[in-house]
Amino acid sequence: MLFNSLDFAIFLPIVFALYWLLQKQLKLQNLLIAIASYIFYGMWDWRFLFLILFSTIVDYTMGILIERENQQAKRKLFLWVSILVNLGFLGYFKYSNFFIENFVGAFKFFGQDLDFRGLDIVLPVGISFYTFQTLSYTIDVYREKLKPTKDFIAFTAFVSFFPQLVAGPIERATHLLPQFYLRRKFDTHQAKDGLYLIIWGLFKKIVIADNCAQYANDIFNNYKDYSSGTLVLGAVYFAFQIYGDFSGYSDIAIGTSRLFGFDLMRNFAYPYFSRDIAEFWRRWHISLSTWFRDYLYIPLGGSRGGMWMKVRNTFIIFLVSGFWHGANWTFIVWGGLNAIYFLPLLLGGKNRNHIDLIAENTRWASAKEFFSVLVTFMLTVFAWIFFRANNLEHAFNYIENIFSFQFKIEKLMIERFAFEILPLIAVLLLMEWFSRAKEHPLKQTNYLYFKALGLIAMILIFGSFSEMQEFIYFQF
Amino acid sequence: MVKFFKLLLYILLGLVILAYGLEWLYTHSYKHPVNPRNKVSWLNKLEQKKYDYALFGSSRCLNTVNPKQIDKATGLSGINMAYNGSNSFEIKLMVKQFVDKFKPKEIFVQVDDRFDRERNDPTSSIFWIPFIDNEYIYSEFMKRDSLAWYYRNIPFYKYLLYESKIGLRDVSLSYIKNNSFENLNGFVPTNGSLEGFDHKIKQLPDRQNIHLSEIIDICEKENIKLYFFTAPYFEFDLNTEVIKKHLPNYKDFSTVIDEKQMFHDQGHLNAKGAKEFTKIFIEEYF
Repeated sequence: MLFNSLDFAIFLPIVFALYWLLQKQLKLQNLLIAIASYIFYGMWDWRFLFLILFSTIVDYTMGILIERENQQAKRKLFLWVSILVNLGFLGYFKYSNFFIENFVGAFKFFGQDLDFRGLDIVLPVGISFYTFQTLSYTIDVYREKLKPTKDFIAFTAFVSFFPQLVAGPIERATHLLPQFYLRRKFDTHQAKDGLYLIIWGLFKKIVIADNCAQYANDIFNNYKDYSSGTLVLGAVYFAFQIYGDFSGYSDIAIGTSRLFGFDLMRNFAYPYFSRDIAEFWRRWHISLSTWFRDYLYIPLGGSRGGMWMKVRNTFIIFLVSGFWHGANWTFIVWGGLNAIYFLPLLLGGKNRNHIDLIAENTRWASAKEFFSVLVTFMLTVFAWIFFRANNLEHAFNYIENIFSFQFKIEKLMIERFAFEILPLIAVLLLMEWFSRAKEHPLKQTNYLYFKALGLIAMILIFGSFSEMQEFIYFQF
Repeated sequence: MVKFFKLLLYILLGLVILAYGLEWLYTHSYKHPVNPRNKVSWLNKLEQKKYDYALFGSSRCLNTVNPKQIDKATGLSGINMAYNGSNSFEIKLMVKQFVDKFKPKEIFVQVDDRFDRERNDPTSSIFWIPFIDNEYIYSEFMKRDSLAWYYRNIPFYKYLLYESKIGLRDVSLSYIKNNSFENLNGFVPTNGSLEGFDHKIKQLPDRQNIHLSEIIDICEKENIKLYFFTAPYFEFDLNTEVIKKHLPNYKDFSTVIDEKQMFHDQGHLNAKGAKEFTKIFIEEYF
């Protein structure tokens, strides 16, 4: 079920009404969330519900066993069972064909032709997200940061919580699971804020991302026909497509959760206003970056052990993060490229230079800040080419054509939406700029209702409905 | 919770008001266009006038018969109401609406290798959707489009669903950009000459087309003389005897022009070819 679909527009009010009717019965509320989440997911493919259910049972059981066991070796064994089951599913469904293809390719390179075709595997939607979420539970129980739950219904609701089941934010068990134990009281301010956040998310998805997608898809698919200027524009459109798409989804997820009295972690904090790549990664897909920090970077030694260890761990994090996005070398190169961008900051000890807010006490950024933001954005856009490309050859050819230095922006002149898409991006950036100190542009502001109505009008007038796109991050 | 529901209600109310407002604005732009973006909208803009004849069909009629040339040669007054992509369903809608408004003396309908196609073509029937409040158009859509009820009753739904065709861009351009057909009484010539081609063959099934049958009924009822014809093709074999069998006053022009340089492609004459064919058309009918 898509957030921007009629199905969801019917589903959400029904679940919302039932949920608050059960306000005094916590267990029934959690059961309702679990059932609603399974319906939400089952509408894509009910067969994969068994996968989620199996993961849920395994992690629930392992959590209890880890706590009961005193011997460290056995506790570790139970943790590994959970890790292997979860990563095993992820590996099989997401990466098996990638490894097979590369294995066959390697043999071919040495003159051995293997007659081995890929497996016919359907990737379950959101598997990368819920796998990481449920892994955080067993790891935190093992680390004794969290008491294992004895409430299977609450745990099922936590693993399958429909607002963030398929595309995050990836919640820590320590943050989300305890919320299922507490009685939720309807909080008008929280619900109102959730509603406004949903509207803001829909604007980013339907107006920005889906319009940019039409351009970006056309330019990337037919890159041979276009000149340098158009190809640069295509990459910029993709940068806003992926931002509008993914942060829009996160906002709708967080907003929906607030309607049910839950608080999810922030996933995006205006990343395109970052002054260097380190700041960008503190503002982009925060739930994934911090997950890797907590469950991979720190266990690997983090920043301890000298510069070489720092560099090694940083590269591991970025490469794994790239690979998490998809079983394609393009994602690994994208991750590697970001690690290379990050390296000078790390070596110079400047990776925490910009932890404050840009132009904190002024209306506009200084020339220096503006220049840093522009350079960071350009570096990010360049890396997005790999992220968007179908394969490495596609990415390199696209880049080669950019550097043919023919500057003619055909797409800007002739095609549909040419006159409205760039102003729309400008509207997005201006709204975000003037709200950069707040969580989102519709938070605690004057004329809130009219601003929300203005966004709804923009969704109706400028929204791309006839070529509605699925959320990109569903494929990850 | 009451406060939250109050906000929700206000937002829904705002949404409904916006949807009705935009519905009115967009529909008004199609019904009273400054520069009509398509022939259906143009039909609404056309002022009352006596037409001696009117031409209907797809792009094979749109690019082929020039009413200005006919009018200059004959002193009659005519119009070409054909538009790209229309099948018999869309042609029927156009004939019916045109006849209701103007009652011309004669009607010419171009039929071709799509004689057997009875379903509506979404890319060309879309232009009728802003006029769904018309009872005839609504009843026709109800027969073949499961969303027809929603087009009519949910404000702005149709413009959201087909925004790439009848949305903001089209509405905006109707205020700022001239169309290509108004100055030539509905005729739109094409340029360029045919280059590579394959000889094509199509066998039509031996059966009547229900929409063309209805056109015959409409014209009989209004006492309008009706002619069917097939415009020229290049290297295209079509069993036009099937069309002749089922349609009255039918004339096959499919092979009257055989010079490659007269064609834009195998199914469409270019401007030079259209001039030549319009001469033949005048000789045959006027």
